[in-house]
Amino acid sequence: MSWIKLTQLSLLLEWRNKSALFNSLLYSVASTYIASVLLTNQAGVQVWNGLLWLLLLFNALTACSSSFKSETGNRYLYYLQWIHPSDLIISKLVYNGIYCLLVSWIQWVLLFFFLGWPGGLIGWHLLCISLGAIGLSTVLTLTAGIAARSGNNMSLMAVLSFPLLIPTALLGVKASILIGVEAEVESFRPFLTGNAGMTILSAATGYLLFPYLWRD
Amino acid sequence: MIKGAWWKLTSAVLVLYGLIAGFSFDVPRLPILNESIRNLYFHVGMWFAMMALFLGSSIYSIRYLRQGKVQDDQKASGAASVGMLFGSLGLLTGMLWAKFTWGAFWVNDPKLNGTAISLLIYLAYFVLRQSMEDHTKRARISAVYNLFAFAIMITFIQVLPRLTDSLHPGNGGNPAFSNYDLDSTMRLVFYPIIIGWIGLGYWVLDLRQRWKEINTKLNDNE
Repeated sequence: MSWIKLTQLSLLLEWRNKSALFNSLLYSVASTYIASVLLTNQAGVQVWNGLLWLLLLFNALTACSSSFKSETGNRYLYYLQWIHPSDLIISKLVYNGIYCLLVSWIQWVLLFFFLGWPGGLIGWHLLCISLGAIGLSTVLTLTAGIAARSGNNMSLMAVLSFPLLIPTALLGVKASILIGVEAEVESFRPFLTGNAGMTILSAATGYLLFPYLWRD
Repeated sequence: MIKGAWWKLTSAVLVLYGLIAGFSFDVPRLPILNESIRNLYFHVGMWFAMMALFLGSSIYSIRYLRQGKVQDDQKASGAASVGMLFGSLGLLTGMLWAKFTWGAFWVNDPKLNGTAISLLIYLAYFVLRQSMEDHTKRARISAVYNLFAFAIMITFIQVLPRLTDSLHPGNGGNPAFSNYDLDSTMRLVFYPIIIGWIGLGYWVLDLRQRWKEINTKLNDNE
């Protein structure tokens, strides 16, 4: 099976089941609502962006931590024999990327709905958030694989991935604050390219390392 | 590991020379820094040794993944823990220096963020190692994490300080060494002691490995 087929399969299974999607949706709505109540609609650009990235971080973590949950037991043995690990990791990267992108947009719209958007340059801001979401998902995909191979431990997943997520989150939050206060494009563009570069790097290292992780 | 005792002797001599010269040679009189500039030989040296050991750790991890020898896995984790030791010392010397020059033990600075994530990453590496019982599985999975984390950490440390201003010298556009206020007498101490610290780090690693080997042999005989 090629990685395209595998991605289609994961998307189809997710669409039929919808439990993870609803889980993320409900998580976003509940956490954003609590935040809006606590902040009483007075979030400035700094607080707004800090909140968005914090919510995004936890949402991406919960979304990606179940990446390899179904690949255990018989399915694992079947995949081990018939699917090349490179195809599997690409399909997981693409699937998690799409998923986190959707989640980040939902999160953005919800925050916009509850708290409004205090800054400017909405297009750039959405681009920044999308880049960040894809970046988070690439790092989380490999750490989910590591956590799954070492015995599906949820707290281990958080311990392993948080230090690795700091770079992406830091670059992202700096860029989105600069965008929010309508700074010049030159001032925040390096952060965006930096984030894109980090994503490519973590995807490439993940792709190279995954085969060693997958075989038993 | 490099054979022979020459490199251990060399690094011991270099560190000893650095200690004596570092405290007795003349240093430039700079405002705020004053005599605390001598900390450069120790604080920066710790980071160099830490990075050299982390690099060594990831090279051993690559070797383990390619060849599957148990010794390489032991060396990878050993190098990481000795690197952590040097990292903690670098943090301590840095915090003291920061207190006397910037007025606080911890400030929000790209270099300090880099330190925080590198130490957190290697702590997570040890947590990961302890979570698995099976030796080959532990070796393989922790090697994968080690390499993945090292790649991200290096990019972060190299990329972010170039993007933002830092309190550290030589940052905000150019993290190169030429921006340090090093005069020729300081260079005379700085470069030798850096090499000395790196050598000393690998010596500690070598001793640790031998101690571990003796321990396993003793346990086997019992």
